[in-house]
Amino acid sequence: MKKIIKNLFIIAFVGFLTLTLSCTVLLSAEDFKSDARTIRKSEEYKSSNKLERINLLAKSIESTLNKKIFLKDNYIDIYGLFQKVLQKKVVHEGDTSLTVIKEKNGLLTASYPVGNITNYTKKLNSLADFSKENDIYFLYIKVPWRNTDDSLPFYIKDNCQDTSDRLVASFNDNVNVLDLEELLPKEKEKLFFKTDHHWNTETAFASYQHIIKDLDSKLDLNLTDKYLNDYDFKTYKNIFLGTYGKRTGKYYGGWDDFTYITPKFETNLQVINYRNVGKVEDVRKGSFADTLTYPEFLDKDLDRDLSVYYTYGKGTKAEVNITNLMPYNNKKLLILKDSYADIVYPFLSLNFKQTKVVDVRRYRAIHLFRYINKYQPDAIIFLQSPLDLYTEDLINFQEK
Amino acid sequence: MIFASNLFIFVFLPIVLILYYSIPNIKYRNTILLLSSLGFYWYGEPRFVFIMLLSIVINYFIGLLIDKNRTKKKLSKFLLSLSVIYNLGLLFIYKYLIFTLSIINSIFPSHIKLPNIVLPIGISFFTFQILSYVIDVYTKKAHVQKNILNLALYISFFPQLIAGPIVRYNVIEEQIVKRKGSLDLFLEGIKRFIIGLGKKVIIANTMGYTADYIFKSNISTDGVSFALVWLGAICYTFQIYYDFSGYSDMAIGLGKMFAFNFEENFNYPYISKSITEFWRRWHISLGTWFRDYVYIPLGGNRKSKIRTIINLGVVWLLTGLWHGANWTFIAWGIMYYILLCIEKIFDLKNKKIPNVIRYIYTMLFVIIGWVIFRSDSLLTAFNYIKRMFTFNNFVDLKFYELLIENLGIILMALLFSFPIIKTKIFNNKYLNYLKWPILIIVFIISVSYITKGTYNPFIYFNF
Repeated sequence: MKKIIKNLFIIAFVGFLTLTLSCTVLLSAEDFKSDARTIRKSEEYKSSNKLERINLLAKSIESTLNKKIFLKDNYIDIYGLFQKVLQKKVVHEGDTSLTVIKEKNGLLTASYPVGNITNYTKKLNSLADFSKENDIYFLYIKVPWRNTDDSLPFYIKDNCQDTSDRLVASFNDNVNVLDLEELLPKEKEKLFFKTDHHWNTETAFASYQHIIKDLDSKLDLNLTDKYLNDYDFKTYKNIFLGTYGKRTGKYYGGWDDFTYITPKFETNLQVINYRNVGKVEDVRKGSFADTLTYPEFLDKDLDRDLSVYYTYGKGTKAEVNITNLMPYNNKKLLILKDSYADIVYPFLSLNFKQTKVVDVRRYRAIHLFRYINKYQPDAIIFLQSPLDLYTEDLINFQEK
Repeated sequence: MIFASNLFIFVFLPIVLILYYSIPNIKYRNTILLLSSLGFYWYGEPRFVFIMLLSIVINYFIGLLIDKNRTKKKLSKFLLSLSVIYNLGLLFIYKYLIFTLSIINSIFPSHIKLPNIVLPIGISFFTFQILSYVIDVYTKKAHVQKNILNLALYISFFPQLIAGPIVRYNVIEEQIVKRKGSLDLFLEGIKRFIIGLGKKVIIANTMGYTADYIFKSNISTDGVSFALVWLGAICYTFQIYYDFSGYSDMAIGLGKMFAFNFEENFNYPYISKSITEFWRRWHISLGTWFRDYVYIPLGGNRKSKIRTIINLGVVWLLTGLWHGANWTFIAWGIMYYILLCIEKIFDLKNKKIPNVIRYIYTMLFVIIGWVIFRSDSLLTAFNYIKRMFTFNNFVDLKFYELLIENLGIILMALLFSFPIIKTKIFNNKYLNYLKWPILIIVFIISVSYITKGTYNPFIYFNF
């Protein structure tokens, strides 16, 4: 009996190592080839001797192996489970910027230091001044932040809320601010996905309602109840593992529900997506659901490199140009945004003849004022998560 | 390449195992092990593999010449000296030249430009193994190795190449040409490898994250609390033990998978009740190397008491320096030298001192020693130790975070420092069966840490 167990253990161990190797190579052969091609094109490779080149290729194999190892998601789930067993509230990685914190309300999150808002203030004030000069309504959306001192473990300090508050306090009079924190429910767990850094679709939709009401009051859009409230909500239970959830696995923070919201009324749009500046990714024509949503991402077994959040917007794009073929006014809107707006701009676009959406992170050094002069929008909204205040990518635009 | 990586566990190891066991002939098996060992070293250090190969070739011929000229005592002594000078010279250039020049620059008004020298990983380990071979051949403790491939395998065998244990030639001489594997030995190898992997990945890396955070703080200016510096020192104490002994376990385990038996390198050092006992349990292969190749040839304790004290001084100065070219390592070695002398002179072993006091005394100095060892400079070490004994700003939020978040692993580290699991579970007739599921769980959790890309430092760059 003892001998059988021993033999089985040896077979299982060596078999498992070999199986992992074989499956990784077979299932990710294309990734290995593609990464090797990238290395071959690198300057480091070109300037190396033969032996060093082989070494570089071997290192590329290791890098691909770590990304694509067979059962990777299961290992991360097990890792998260072990952290849960250890009662850990702070889960570290080799890269400290990827640390995940579990709040008392079950939200997974991150903490941020005191942010420097000097450049943000300067750029947004300048943009607001320019808008005022050109008779364009400029609206800054103050998005709520997921952390509170009460919900974080007592030994974790977070300054993101403070940074966001200081920014708004530093604006000049030309910046109109819509403070969603005042308008949305106070319970953070109702506003955000548990496992993702984004707000949930219900919150994004509620935010849309507040924003469009504000724009209607300033631009006389002729907004009706249909465009405000006539929508279909379909909730997919336990389908979404967000950014934090992917880092800690499904057992650590659980799954999120995802609510798919579409208009009940008839819509007809043309959407041109630009993956990068000037590069058209696709042109879509048809209803709201056909042009602005991607229901194929509503899949629990989605590859973890992808996200259910892509159901709206299919990931970050440099620019989206939406023409409403059934407009109820002739107004034009420009949205400067990060991914928080991905579930907001589709709904806003139903209320304008034309909507342009620019993600400055992908549209680096855009001559924004020139762009605005050419487009002549009636309103500009700036919508971003407070966590993006820690990079200046969203204000990386030229003022002339 | 490091053991605690997907590349090693899921690519290198299964390929080498399959190749090795698909060939029955030991000569070809050794060739496979040699080639894979060179590949293993080349992966991390493509340039330095040639330095190691040159050393092997030179010492191979010196070994042959010593054996051939045994009757000519002066010549064989000269050849031995040549080998020692070459090997230590190489070690000096790569490891100690910059340190020596910086000392010269600081003492004299010279401005010698410091060369940019990268330390080949594992040079201290393989240099000591080469010396062990040549000295064993000279002293007739081992036969000369006529097959250069066998000698190359002894020097470069991947399990012990980068982090030990230092395998002495006379221990392994026979095993290279005549060894018999068995299922039991292979299974024991898997067990040791998994235990080592778990020690390194789950315990040492977690402790390392905490220790590194605290040691990288500026103790003088960052307002680091009393409790936090102690936590840092204790976590580093656990990190270095679980990292180093974990590597040794993996090396011993891998050796067994290929039918080699290496000697043990650690024996629960943190249960020691004296510094003397600690050094009998810590890095045993280094201690015995210095005993056999330095202390005893210098006369050991067979001469006068003063001579014994001097001999010990030489050994501990070298022990400190072996760990790295920095004053901190020298100070660390000197601290142990002084403590060992005190224990010897006052015969503390036979004094009536309660075990608790003995234990506290030993661990206190071991922990202080690790603070010196871990610090970047003597000044940093001094400031750190000073903070450990300054009773203000008792506790801060970071302490709570690092303690509460790592409590589970700290308790594991504490528990496994004692031989309780070994005696109560692995040696128990019934509980023994639990070891298989436990090992499977440890392996899977370890791989999950590696795959996740958690903090995984390599702490042997100085060695």
